[in-house]
Amino acid sequence: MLKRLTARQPAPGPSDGDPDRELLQRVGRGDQAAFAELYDAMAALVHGVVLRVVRDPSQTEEVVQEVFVELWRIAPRFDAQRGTVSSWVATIAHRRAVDRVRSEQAARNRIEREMGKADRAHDSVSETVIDADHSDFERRRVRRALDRLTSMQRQAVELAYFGGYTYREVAVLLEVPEGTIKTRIRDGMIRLRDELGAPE
Amino acid sequence: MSDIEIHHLGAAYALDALDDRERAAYEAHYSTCEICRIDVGEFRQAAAALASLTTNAPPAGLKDRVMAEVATTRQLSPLPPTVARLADRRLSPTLTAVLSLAAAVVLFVAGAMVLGRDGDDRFGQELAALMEEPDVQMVKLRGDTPGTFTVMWTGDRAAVIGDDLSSPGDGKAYELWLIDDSGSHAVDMLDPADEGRIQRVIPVDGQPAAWGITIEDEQGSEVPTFPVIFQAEV
Repeated sequence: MLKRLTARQPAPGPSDGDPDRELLQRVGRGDQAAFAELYDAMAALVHGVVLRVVRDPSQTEEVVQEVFVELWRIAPRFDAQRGTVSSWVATIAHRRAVDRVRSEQAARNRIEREMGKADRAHDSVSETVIDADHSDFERRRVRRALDRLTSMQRQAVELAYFGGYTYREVAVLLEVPEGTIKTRIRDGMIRLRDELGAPE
Repeated sequence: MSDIEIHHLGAAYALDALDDRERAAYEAHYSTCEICRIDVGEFRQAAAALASLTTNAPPAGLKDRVMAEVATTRQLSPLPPTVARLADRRLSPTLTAVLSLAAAVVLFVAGAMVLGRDGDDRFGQELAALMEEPDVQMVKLRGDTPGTFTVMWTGDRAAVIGDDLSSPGDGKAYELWLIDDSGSHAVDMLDPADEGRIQRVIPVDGQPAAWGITIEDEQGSEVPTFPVIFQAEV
């Protein structure tokens, strides 16, 4: 009874069917060969999202390396209740990328430099999408879901996620009140979530 | 920030679109809000799906560098922090004691000033007596929620000082836990009576390896309810 603090029971989570989960469990037990497999499976995902946010290739490499070393370090704590391995990996990669761009220079400078480039930032997301390999089922599914957002919701969500901007920065970039951007982001994410449905 | 406003930040949080201050405030909130916890889980899954649109293979040499660094990097214990640290105490007892005492003196002076202002002499006297014990130790507990907790203790009693604490909620109170190798032991209920402050000297039994604070019904609980909102290993 007194051991409650020391024993959090892992319960079967929604990601029981996650093909990467067993691999991550092996990584969590210190299996470096399993980690090499995890790297091969996730490297393009991590590198892609970090590059999209950070832009600079050599800084991107540093961040990607940090992300994978962090994944290795915290793998024993992975909680399957919180979702799939790939979503966990993408979450950590995006957060690291954002931390890098925000610490690198004052956000204000970055906004000033990017002012007037908002439209292009939006376009280049689409380019990335078009350049990517379309054969992948997941990508088609995500693009279909994004298509269900209004163009304003989509613009706000994409600038926040792919641009790595805070909602306040997005508001400045789009010259729209902060409250409006908060609402667009929230409504857009609710629709995205609903369109993507329950995780497979 | 109002409660309703903070509930609505989950989507922006999942996109990493909050600034540091709002991120910290939201993290403090959502760890105690079941609705927001579910929101964040779902929004994170949706945000992560966006990453599939940008996949891009890294340069070939990167894998070798990652594998080399991994080979020399220790993994975390699979247990949550409070417990993990029990088996991982690296500071020597002497150094810990010296650090504790140095910090305790600073605290005592600060505490005495506060007490002087309030005229609550009894706690001041008990604290002063505790300070004179040769084996007194002190630790500041860490947490994501507002306020601070500091515990000073000897073999038979502990002084608990809480400041700037938020209300634990109607019918709720903070509960202090002494954690040792056999588990978590309830010490006492702590009610931040006025201005979010707690000043108590409480009998304790046993050598703590860590201290923890949870929020429980005000009559107290035999077992801790997660999350542990303040904690520190000794």
